[in-house]
Amino acid sequence: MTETVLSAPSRSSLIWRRVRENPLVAAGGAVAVVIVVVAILAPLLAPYPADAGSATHPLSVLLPPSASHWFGTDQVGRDIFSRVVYGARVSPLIAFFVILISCAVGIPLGLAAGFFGGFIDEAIMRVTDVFLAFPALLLALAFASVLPPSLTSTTLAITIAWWPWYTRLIRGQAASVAARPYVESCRALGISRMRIIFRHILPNAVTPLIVQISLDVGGVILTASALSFLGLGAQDPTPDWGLMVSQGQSYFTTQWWLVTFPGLAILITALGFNMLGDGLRDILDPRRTVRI
Amino acid sequence: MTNLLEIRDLRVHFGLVRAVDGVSFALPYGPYGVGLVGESGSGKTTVGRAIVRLGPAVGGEVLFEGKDVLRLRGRALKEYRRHVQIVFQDPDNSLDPRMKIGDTMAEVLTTHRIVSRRQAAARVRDLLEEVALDPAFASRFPHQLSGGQRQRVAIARALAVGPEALVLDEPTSALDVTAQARILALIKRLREERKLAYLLITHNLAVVSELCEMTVVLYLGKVAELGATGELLFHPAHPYTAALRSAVPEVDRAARLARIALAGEPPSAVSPPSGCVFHPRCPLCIDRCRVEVPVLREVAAGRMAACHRAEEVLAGADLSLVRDVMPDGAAAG
Amino acid sequence: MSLLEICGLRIAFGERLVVDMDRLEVDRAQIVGLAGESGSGKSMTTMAVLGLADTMGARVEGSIRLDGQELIGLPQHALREIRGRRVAMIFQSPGLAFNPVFRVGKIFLQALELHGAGSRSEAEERAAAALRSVYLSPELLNRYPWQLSGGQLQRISIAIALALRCDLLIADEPTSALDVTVQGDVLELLRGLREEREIGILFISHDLAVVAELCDQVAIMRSGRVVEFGPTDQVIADPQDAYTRELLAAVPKIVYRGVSR
Repeated sequence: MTETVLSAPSRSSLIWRRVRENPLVAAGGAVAVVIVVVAILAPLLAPYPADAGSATHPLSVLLPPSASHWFGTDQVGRDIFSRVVYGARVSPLIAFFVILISCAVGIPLGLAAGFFGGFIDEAIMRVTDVFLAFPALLLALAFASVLPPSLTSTTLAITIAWWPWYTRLIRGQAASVAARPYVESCRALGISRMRIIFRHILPNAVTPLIVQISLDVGGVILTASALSFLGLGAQDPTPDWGLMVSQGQSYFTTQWWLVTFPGLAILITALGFNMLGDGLRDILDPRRTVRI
Repeated sequence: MTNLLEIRDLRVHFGLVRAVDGVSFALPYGPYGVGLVGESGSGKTTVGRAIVRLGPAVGGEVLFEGKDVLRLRGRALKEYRRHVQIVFQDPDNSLDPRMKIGDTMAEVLTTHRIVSRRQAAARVRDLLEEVALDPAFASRFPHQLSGGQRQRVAIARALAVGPEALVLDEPTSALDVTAQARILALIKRLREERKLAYLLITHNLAVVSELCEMTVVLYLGKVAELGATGELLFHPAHPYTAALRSAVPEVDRAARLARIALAGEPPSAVSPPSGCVFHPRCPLCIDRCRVEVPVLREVAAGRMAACHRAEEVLAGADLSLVRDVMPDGAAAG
Repeated sequence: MSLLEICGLRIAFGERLVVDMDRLEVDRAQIVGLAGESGSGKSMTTMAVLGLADTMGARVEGSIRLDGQELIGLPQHALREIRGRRVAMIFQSPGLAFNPVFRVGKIFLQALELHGAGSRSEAEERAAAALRSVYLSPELLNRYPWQLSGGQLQRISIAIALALRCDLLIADEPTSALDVTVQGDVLELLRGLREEREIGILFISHDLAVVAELCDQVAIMRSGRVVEFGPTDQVIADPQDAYTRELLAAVPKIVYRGVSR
């Protein structure tokens, strides 16, 4: 007697249903999408695209928000709205590269440490521990200060502080997955170790990483903004939000709009990605898996 | 006539713990079943894992068709894996939850180049049908199957390489009784169709009696006795076997035996008792048992036991224990 | 009047009905088995008896009477009085029932003091006596749960039920995680509870053989319904329901010649 197929909802439709039901993911996801769209469409959205570059307008400095300049103008007359819009390209781009490189370094190291254990694990994790011993911001600061200030150095400096967290995260997951019976089955069946690591362990270890990445976008943006604020990152005329806040500091009490709008942009972006990450964590939490 | 698998004096130690301490038995060519029976701490799972080279071994030999497999590496090890496979106890976790059933099985086929990628789908269908599953399952994920169905997929996957021997580690312990009955029937059928030899690791004596010609009883890493299943269960030669048998609950009132209670608690593997490892709990314990380790010896035709008083047990000695002692070390034996 | 009377019990999660039980009774000095496969609703039934089903999000209707007192609809504080004083429970994983931070003795005495054992010394005496009844040394009270085996912990759970002087004991798969020799000890203790203390026991298990050996009456559950109920010997000798027959046929039995040629 052959047994017939049970009909059950697929895993992706279950996840999609949860996405729709979760307000955090919806709101955070909306912010993320908006930021990306703004970044892509910046030339179309910004009324004064040249102001995002090196244009200056000495006759229109420090104008308050008005119909022609929604966010006002800064100390050299540039339209702040245009600069904030173009700034959407800068910070998220840094975040993208930091996370990409950190993953490229951290994931293989974590997989190796978690799967092989023993000496390899010890060697990798001790090096990782050294980096983890420093607060991320301080470490990034330290490296940024010895490099010539630019967006590239910011990216590099933050990456150096960031990769160990992914290594540790993946290592824990990889070790736990490697102990599961289906990985043992693969070994018993003679499947090669490389294949086991990339085909079986990685897909099953990556879920917490997805959550972590969403949360980290906000974190990297904040760190990059801090570095720019301190003058160690982007330089004028780059429309980096952190740099804009820094440049507007001295005008804060009288011309509040120089600081407020870029500051709000940082806040909303970081908050949006944090909410997305929190929402994703709730959805992807394995303990919530529906039993069929 | 050589045996398919011969385990000789196998030892597996984890630090101070002697999980397996000198186990020897043989698995003949199929169709044939050997039951490896014991309770927790007996070392039976460790033996099974050592045979399929999933666990370490510190001593002894495992001979497959006469050649020791414990020191194989690389390509030779991968080749060995085509001949001896394992099915695990936990059906919930023995399949990758993110891979479709068909892909999981095709992976095995392509790893060992049993068929080309194009032919893999057809072979997967054949294998699923062989274990009485609808071939449409190939496009499903493990969580969409019941425990019994997942276990069948695990069996089909193990059979994909065409092994001569299977190690079945508690294949039905996590299943409902009806699913268990179906799996046992499946094993019986596969046994004949494929001339399979299998090592059935379990604590369930009834399952062993139905599926295994021979049984090996383990206690704390050592063989207590081994022999033809029927004779072993109905005329045991070791007090532990008798106690184990008497403790098995039976639906049929007529089949129930008077329970032989054992003193004390299952022992610790870190500091095993001196002499016979079973002596602190044994109703027939004498002074000799406390000092001298009994050797596994032939006590009847085709029957081996590691007990100084095996002949008496075989002859039906009374093993009942008077229960007025406090088994946890307070009173004398 | 029975110790425990369940009538028309219906438990649902949303629209899904998980228990639809017409009738089940447990008397004093009687062991009633609730047998079935996973998903049959056995555990949810016990949750309802303990008044814990609605905390899991289920809707409960019907009647559960303990010595005539209706339990469904009682507020949680009243149920807490009943749990521990009149009804005790032992679980499948004894390790989970004990907080690993505390010594076993502390948990034991806490339970006793909570449920009316009077002074500390009286509690200690009761605990020691209960432990001796389950063939354990009172010295074990000084150990932590992780220092004890599954069988010992299960016996301590039974000792606690004894010391609390409960009328009804609910045992949910208490031996499924134990070795078969240890299982035998625990089953013998449960029989002792019935004989000497006249406790009523509701014994849940998926193992028909254990139920057959231990229980006076058995109810076979399937998809939330009781398909057969009666004295164990009778149900086994002459099963009326097809499902019961299927279950009985599926239980492996020790045979002399299985596949042997």
